[in-house]
Amino acid sequence: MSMSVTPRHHPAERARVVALAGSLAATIGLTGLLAAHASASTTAPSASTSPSASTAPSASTAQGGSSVTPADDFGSAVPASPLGSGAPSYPQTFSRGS
Amino acid sequence: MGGRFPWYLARSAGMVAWALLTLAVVWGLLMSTKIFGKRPRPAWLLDLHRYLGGLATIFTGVHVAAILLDRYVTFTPVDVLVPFASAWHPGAVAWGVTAMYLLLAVELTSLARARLPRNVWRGVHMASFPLFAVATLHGLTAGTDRHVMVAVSVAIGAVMLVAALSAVRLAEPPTPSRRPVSTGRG
Repeated sequence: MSMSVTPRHHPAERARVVALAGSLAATIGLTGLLAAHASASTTAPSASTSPSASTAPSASTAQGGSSVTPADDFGSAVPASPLGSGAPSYPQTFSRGS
Repeated sequence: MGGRFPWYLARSAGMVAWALLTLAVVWGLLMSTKIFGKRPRPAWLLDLHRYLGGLATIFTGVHVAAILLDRYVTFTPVDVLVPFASAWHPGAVAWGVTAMYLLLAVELTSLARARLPRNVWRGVHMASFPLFAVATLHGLTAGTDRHVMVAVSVAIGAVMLVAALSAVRLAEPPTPSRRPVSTGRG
């Protein structure tokens, strides 16, 4: 990043503002979108019936969407929300090399 | 969102950091080719290139910080600093750790460019290409959203764009002065 003083309304100033505002907006928007999507998936009927919710995440199981892991909770079934319902249903720790 | 907020923030900041890195690389390639024309370019174009790189570094920091705060997948400082130390997808995370170090090298040498020999700065700056490749690999292998068609399509498009601009850059004969008109650091 340059620390040079740039007059307001200069193209550089406008470009910086657009880049910063766009990045912040994208981050906030994506965070909300991901949370909303996961929340919506949580209420899906099939979510709580996932047979392998306690398995460690792996690339092979994430593909099919049948395993509920941090690696595939976007666009696939997610178990019932852990919030307010006791122990989290997603794995907290993983074995090395999983 | 509750206790999983750091997890969502880590994912979104990672995607934004990658997008900013891609923009910085594309902007740098556009400036180093004749696509913008042969005449000297305004200094603010270089300023924007630097700014995008700086923003990419900041959002990478947010990504890593959120990963450390997250309890969805537990990461320790060692996991995010040492390649293959992570228990969760060690290879995929190692790409990200490598990309982080390359990004830091490129950014720090750019900040100190005025104090460095041009060849040293240039050599380190060439690491931007493996940096982009490694960061993209990290996103495609470790990214939670790597199976989302939109994410994969954007990644493929970005790789093709960078590859095409790199080919244009390599095809052009070297010119004595490629630097834009600048009043600040080189």
